[in-house]
Amino acid sequence: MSCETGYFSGLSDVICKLGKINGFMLTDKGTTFTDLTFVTESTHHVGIASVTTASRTSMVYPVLNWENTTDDVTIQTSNLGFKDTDGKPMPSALAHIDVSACDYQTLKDLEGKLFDVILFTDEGKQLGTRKTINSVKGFRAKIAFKYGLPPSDNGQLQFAVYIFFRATDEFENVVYETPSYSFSDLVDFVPVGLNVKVTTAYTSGSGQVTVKVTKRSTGVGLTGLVAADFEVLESNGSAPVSTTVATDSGLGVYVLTVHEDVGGSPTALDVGEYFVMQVSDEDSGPTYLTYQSNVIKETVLA
Amino acid sequence: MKTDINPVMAKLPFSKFEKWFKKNIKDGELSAKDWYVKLGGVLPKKKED
Repeated sequence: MSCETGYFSGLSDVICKLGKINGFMLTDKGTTFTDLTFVTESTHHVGIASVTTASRTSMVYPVLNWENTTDDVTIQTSNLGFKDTDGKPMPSALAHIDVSACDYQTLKDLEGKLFDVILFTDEGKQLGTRKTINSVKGFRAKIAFKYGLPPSDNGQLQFAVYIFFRATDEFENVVYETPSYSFSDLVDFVPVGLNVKVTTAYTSGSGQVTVKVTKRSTGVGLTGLVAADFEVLESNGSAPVSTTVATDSGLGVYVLTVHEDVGGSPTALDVGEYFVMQVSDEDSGPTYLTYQSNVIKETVLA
Repeated sequence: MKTDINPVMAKLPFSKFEKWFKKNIKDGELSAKDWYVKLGGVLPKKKED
């Protein structure tokens, strides 16, 4: 309940409708924009597809079906019959996203993580919340997914994303913008998905692992990748750990040499050490990614 | 079969790169020196007599 003086504030001459949510953008928790960059297409291009891993802070998901699952306001009635609201329900939503089964599988690592969510509507609106005078962000939320059998009735509702917002006050300070780009323009920035899987496990003796890289859904092998395209994101080996050699064997099969730094010399990882890898390819700039894979974790067992 | 070496390897001193190269690169189309230069490394100057 607000304990401030309330003032009438007029009404608009033009009645613009908000529209229905047709997409959302997950941005890393703490990502902020100025009023200008919030609606600058190139800002979002960098956030979605920059070749620099640390600059990729956002991802967009088209929505097929959006359900507002926020609980109704609780109305309490006193014993004399007076009614009033009690508390403010935390907003939540259930979105069914327009992705493939393989895309959906890659999302599970995002579960439980906090994001700032920017919403888009079919009336061309982009919604965020004001953080400070000249700072805009998405609505803080935690997301969850549903895995199981496909639905028997409506095939559109296969891939569910639960969005549990974390702050009602962010919805009292909504920033409504009408950018010059459409939501589908942002979807076009998303790199084409790749699937990468290990076909021969890494051994400390050879320092090598064999992987197969295919275009997601079609399963066509992607050739022409170079060693730097196989980025080691995490490892408990001695830093830096990187893919030093990539041998393209054709049909998307690559033999990779992955080494850690031991006393300034590249050396094979030891048993018990691991690395987390993602494969990508970039445009001729190189400025933006054109392909991006799922993430694999390989632990050295022998 | 096409082999590519990560350009980060050219950050190693050439002596270490060469040692690593001999152990890890088997299809010798290019020599260690050629690869090092190709990756952006600068070969050490020869000592003058």
